[in-house]
Amino acid sequence: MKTLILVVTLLNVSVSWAASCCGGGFSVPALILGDDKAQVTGTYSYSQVSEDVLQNGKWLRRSDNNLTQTLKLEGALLLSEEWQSGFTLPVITKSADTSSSSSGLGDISLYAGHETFPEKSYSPWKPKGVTFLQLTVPTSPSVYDGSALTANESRGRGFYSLGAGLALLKAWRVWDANFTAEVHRSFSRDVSSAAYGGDVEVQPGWGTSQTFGIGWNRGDYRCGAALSHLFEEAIRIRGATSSDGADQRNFTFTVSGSYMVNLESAVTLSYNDQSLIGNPVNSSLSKTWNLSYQQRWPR
Amino acid sequence: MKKLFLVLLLATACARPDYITREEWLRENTPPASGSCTLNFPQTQLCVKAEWLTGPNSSEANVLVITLDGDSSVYDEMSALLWMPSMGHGSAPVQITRLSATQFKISNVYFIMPGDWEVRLTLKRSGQTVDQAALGLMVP
Repeated sequence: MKTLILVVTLLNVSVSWAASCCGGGFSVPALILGDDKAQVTGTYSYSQVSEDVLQNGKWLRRSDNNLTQTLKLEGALLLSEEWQSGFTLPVITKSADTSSSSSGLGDISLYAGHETFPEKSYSPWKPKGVTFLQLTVPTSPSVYDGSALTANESRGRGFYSLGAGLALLKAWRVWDANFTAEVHRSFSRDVSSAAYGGDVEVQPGWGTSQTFGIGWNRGDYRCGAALSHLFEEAIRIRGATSSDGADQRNFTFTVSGSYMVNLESAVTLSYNDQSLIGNPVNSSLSKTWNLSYQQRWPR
Repeated sequence: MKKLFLVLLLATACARPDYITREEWLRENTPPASGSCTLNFPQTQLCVKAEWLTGPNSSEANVLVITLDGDSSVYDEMSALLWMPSMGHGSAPVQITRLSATQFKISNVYFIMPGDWEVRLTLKRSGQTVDQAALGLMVP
């Protein structure tokens, strides 16, 4: 039972990966995967950009102390036996040697989840699964807003995005495995600015991410590792100026440790590194520490 | 055997950074220009000499002076915008001051992040575009 709760804790901490420019990419929501009716998760993240990878795959070292600190509040509520809804509310502080720091609200997300693959009886192989729909709202400045003179002032992607995904979870005695996959579509917007030489249409495209993780549990503790992949189609610009952009891809390796304070709450410390695995393209790579606390209310 | 396979699999998945310096990037991405020109406009073959008074960097408002060599009667105006081609976004509008018939000062040049940038120059005559050229940069 403790193993399952710890695994659920890990997956309940939503995962977000930075896209290559200026704001977060796409976050997998903090879903209710256990026997809870509600949960609240608070996460503090400290992230530093260490490298930039150009569209030709060449790497550049970043030395501008580009830091992002995020305080994220996530809530989820069970609406019925199968349905749930939730939100993600990030507050972001960005700083770098090259410009003054900036703080404020990031892009908020709302989601609806459905327990499409319940685990009603024991199976040695069949996982429990939740599908979800998620809407990300551009509630923060982005590089497409003329008010942002530095990257520090851009805290979001600047687009409405709609995503759909699946989270699978399976535990065997002291081991567990999880898999999350989602596909999202970001929607075009018009920008009228002298910075673009007039009126342009900014055309983002499809994106997808997948995460596979494993964990080992002992008593109140769990340690785990996960590998994530993020892909974003190029952002095209049409109008007064034009640009085809370039696809973005990066990989995130995560190690984490969780401690179950009691049956209703847990603390997780994790470290993400985007410079260790895979062949990233057109991305800024970060190293991130996350500390989260989660409180759950059982059914 | 299984352990060896897993180790090899992990090793092949490791990132293999191919680092490049700013100087190497500039060498590979600066188009050849004739004589002392920084670049040439492709249609009019006007020679562009670009001189940074401050920068280029992402820590301040940079100033760039563009001097055009060639027939100045083909244009009566020049505009400029900043563009990050890989990421697909621009930056704040720049301010252009005409210093002489062939010389323009571009100020308020804010590169909002380090990386590969372009200064996209457009020559106009009576409001119509005559020629366009892009000055490629690697901004630290």
